[in-house]
Amino acid sequence: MRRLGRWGPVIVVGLLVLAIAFPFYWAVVSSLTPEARLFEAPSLFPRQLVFDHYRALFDERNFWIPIRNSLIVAGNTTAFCVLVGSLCAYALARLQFRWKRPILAFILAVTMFPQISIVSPLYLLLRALGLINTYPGLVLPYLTFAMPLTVWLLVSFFRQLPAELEEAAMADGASRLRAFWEIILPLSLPGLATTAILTLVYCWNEFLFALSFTLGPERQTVPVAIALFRGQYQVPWGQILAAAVVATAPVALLVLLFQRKIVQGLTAGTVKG
Amino acid sequence: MASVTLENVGKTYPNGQVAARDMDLAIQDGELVVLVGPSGCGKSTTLRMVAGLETPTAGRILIGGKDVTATPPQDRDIAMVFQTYALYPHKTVRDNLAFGLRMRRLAADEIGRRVREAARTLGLEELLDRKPAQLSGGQRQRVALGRAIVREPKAFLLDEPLSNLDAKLRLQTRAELARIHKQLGATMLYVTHDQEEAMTLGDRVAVLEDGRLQQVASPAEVYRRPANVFVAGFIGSPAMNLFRGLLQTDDEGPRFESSGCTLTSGVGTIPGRSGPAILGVRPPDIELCDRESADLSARVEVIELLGSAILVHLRATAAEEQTIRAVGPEDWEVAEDEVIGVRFNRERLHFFDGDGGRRLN
Amino acid sequence: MRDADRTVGAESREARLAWAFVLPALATIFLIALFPLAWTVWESLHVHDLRMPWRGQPFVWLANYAEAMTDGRFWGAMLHTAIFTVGTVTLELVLGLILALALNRAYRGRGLVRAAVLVPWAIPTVVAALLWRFMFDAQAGIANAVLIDIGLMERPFVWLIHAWAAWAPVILADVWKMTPFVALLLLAGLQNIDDSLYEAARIDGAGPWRQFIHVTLPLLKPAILVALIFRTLDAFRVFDLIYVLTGGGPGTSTEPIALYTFNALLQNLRFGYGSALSVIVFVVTFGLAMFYIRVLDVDLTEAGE
Ligand SMILES: Nc1ncnc2c1ncn2[C@@H]1O[C@H](COP(=O)(O)OP(=O)(O)OP(=O)(O)O)[C@@H](O)[C@H]1O
Ligand SMILES: [Mg+2]
Repeated sequence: MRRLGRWGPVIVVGLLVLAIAFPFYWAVVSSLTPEARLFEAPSLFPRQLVFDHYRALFDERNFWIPIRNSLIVAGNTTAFCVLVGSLCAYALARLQFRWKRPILAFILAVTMFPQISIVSPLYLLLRALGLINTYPGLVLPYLTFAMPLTVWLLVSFFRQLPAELEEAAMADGASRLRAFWEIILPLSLPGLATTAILTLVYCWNEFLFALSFTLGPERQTVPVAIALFRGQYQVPWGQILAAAVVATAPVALLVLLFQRKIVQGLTAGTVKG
Repeated sequence: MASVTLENVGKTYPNGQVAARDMDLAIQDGELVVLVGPSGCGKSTTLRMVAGLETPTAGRILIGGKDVTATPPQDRDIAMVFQTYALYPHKTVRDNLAFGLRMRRLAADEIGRRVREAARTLGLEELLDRKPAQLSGGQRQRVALGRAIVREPKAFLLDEPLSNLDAKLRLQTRAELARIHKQLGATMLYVTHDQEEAMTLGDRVAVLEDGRLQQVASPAEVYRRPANVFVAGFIGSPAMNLFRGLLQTDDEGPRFESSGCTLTSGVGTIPGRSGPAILGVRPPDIELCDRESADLSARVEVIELLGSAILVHLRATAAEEQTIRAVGPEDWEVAEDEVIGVRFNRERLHFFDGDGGRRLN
Repeated sequence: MRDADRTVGAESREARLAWAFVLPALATIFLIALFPLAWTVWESLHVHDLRMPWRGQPFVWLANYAEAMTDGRFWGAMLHTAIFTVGTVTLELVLGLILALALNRAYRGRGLVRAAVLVPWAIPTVVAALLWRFMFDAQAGIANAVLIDIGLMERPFVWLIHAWAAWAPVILADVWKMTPFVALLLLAGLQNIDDSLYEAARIDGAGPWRQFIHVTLPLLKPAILVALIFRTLDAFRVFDLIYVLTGGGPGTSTEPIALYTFNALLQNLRFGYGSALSVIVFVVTFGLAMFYIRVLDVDLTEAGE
């Protein structure tokens, strides 16, 4: 009984981690297996490793194009959100004005908006502006979820800083803006970085808008490109899995590097899944 | 340096909490006024209004004769020391000291000169390149003080700057602060809840309760002639003994009667007064005497040694609920459980109105 | 009078600054979220069929909603969404709780494990869907291979052409992806519970099970509710996962409401009807959110008393 108490949790965690890790393992192994072997009886351990699928992915399918698209869209969205959102979050966290609470509630409400509810007008709007199948045509819709997310996270980060620091700065002769710039921003760099990482991850993963507002491979993002992979005769599993590994690697890396910060952000800001 | 004046200042927070009522206070140029009162009485609020961090809801505030009620903090030219120090954690001590000067666009060599000077005054020279996290509590406190000093502001505002220090360091820093005040001839508004700190440090003491100024006077005056019961009870340690009773003037002259004691002689004249009153006697103003000539007979409950003196806790034999604190020399002839007679020093009686608590004599 | 003016001046300066800070972000959100939402509502009251432009855009009151009420595919989609939501949220909460409790006990390597379990949450849903579709592939899938190996099946089974079987990879994929997130939320809640409470319970003679029922669960309730809200709202909007894994098939037997709406809009180009479906999704999501927030509030105040 004692033994079980000690080892029980470790065993449970071990099993669950195994279950969580297995699909990744399987994807990596399969992406390195020759196409012909894939459809034979699968085996847990690879007998022969080849890089054919990765080569085909970049040489034939030009997979670097969706990667470039994703980076441009996610990067621009994140930069805009952090820039504009941090000012907004600061005001909501620190300044006194009458509409503060309603605005906070509104922003929280917008984080719960179902994307599908605004797909049709956004489509019509972007079509009218000639932005279908362009980068701005993705950045703009991405702001719908990224902006409230950024603001919400940053509000909780700014609130953690003691108000006396800015008060001291103002007594020292700094204006609000100056105090924000010289004191608050440097101190909330970790929070800003966490927020930026989370926003990047959300943008990198987004599918519905990217699917709806792009027309062809030249502007498709990574998730859309992978989802729409077609082979001549059958599903090109080898390449799909290679692409999946490529799409996963950067977020996995970010998460592993910044896991502590990310968990803080997730649990403090109670972000949507 | 400049004077600081509060005229009819009031503050009601948006949630309805009243933190300051009709406050009048004039701090002379170069004067150190200590604002003292129990927790939550509105000391910090008052200080923050002078700093410009809170806006008064009534009255006006003048610094150097100029109305600054609507001036933002950065334009008031005051320096503030916070209870938590509020040092900028990402800047070195040097940059912390220089920040306020940079904000005022002083020349670099002037900034350097002033920082060095302040560092020397406070013994911070070795620490200039450290970050606040690498300093001890006392060192942080000195940096916070230094950040105010380098500025050479119109006035210093200090919010319980010593309360995070241990007892020994607090005494040391208090003395240092008094020295700096003299040396700079600085106008200072100093907030504390510690009445002893207030008494030793202040040129004048302003006693605050529930957002209202109770008395503004020199420490000696506040101690010898408290303006009301609240001040009497708050200032002085151990606290003043208070007896509720009746003040009467008849053919035999004025007399005070309470359930614990009756005073017939030496009550002095309180013009035309009779009715409910409160008698206050400070613990050191109580003397031992024989039972016959005593104002009061009481049982000794506990004796505490206070170094060179003793504090005796007494309970009146005639009124069980009346406790009395007396302070006497170490060799006072009392023993626990003994019943003794005590007399009150007639020169040092305090009488207060039984209703409003206002001083009568 | 003059004094009053002045104080108002100081306060309104801060308010003006606040508005200057808030406005860009707020305007953005209004422009790209709230305004489109209003447009959706407006659109849903019209017939707007991009394939039949000659019909124009006549205003038809609630005809689109009336159509939805008698649309079998709509009700089917609602049912699928409900099946998916209940199935995944239940499994995720139970497994998430087990994982969180175990993580809370197992001190060694917690940081590493925490990072490892975060990865599925962070990867694109599309990728997760593809991984599971591959594992449940009839020929290449490891699921069939394992089931045949242990003798539960004789021949490869084609999961995605059977209405009921297609749910297996769908629900497994979501549980695999989101359980870690639930576990992390619950773990944060668990770590807020003071150890001395367990000690007190032990001194009172409570065994592990009693401790769990009387200490852990009640104190974890807020965290559980938060996880429940976020997961339910998310599950109700499910799109990517099913779009990629089954495409809503076979036929429309795993089609959730978001996917049906998408098809009505961008496949059939029926913007009026699709917008009506969008509004319904929005209203239900918000109804759920409000319901939960109310429940949460009630419980929080009760806990406070
Ligand atoms: N921002 C605020 N909003 C509402 N009420 C406040 C606010 N700040 C302070 N108060 C209230 O105003 C009263 C005075 O507060 P203040 O901080 O000035 O007290 P204090 O004398 O400094 O007390 P302490 O010695 O504990 O620091 C208190 O009752 C407090 O609860
Ligand atoms: Mg205070």
